Amino acid sequence: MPVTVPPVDYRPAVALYHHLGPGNESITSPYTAMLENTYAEICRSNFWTWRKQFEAAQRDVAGLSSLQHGWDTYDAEAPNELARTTAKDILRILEQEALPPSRLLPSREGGITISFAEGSRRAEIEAYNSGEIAVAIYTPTEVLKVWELNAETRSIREAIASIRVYLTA
Amino acid sequence: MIRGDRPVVPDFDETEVLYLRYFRDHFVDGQLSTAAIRFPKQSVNRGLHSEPEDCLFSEQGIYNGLGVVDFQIADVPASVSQTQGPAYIFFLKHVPLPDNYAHSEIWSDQVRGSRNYREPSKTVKLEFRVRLCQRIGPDNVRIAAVRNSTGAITA
Repeated sequence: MPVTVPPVDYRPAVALYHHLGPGNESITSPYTAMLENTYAEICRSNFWTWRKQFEAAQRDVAGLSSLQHGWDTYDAEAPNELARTTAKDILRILEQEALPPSRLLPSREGGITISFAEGSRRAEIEAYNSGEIAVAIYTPTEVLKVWELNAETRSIREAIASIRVYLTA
Repeated sequence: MIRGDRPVVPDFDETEVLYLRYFRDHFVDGQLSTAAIRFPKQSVNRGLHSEPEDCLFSEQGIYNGLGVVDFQIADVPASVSQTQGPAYIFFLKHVPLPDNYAHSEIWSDQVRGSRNYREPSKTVKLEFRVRLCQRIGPDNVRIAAVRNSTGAITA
């Protein structure tokens, strides 16, 4: 007989942990221990780790709005609103597909670079200020594929699927 | 670094070293990110006329915290072909500035030897940037960066 596991909602425990905090004298030590154990479990969970990474990545994208022209000391354009919106859309899809990037950076090319690295397997999605998107998958010595996308969700989803297949092969 | 009356030196030896400023977060898992390379005309300093430290010289301190990587002319992809459309060739051009004689740029064109600039397609540019970055790892760091591309300083 199949066993159904109910979905676990960690939010109350996380909120309590942050609200009460370690060392709070208003709660008993067994309860503190339980909260700390639960919190440690949550920290080990891939889901919550990814969730945290994606929240940080979305904040990073928003933070790029403060960059000025020439931010890189080589006269690069700062990522504009179009590039930031595209990058946020890509991050949303990546989160749905549970594929967190390794790094998100403003690109000297004018836009935002989203990087993936899994051992020697690497990929980049670049969202440009022009609204264009380009993708590359490569090894440390070989470029395997470079292609351009349109900004439609389906097209981005297909590219992400290709990256996932490549990174996990 | 002052140019003065010194002439343009158009020839580059394959073994000549080039210097590029980078940010600390430009290294992803031991390789320079494509985010560190730009078009058009990525600026570099040629090693024939400068040292890595010269890349970071500024009386206003605007390069404080940045690092410098080096690579050779031979590391710059000579050409990138595409299935649909013409191949692009890449070459170095010495473009001295009044306060930076070593300043040079990476140019591209479809015609070898033309010395003109033609902007490649996005995919050609990305392939070029990936191939150049494949040649730049931690061993190429001459001065380590402590500043991230968003301005944060990391020890």
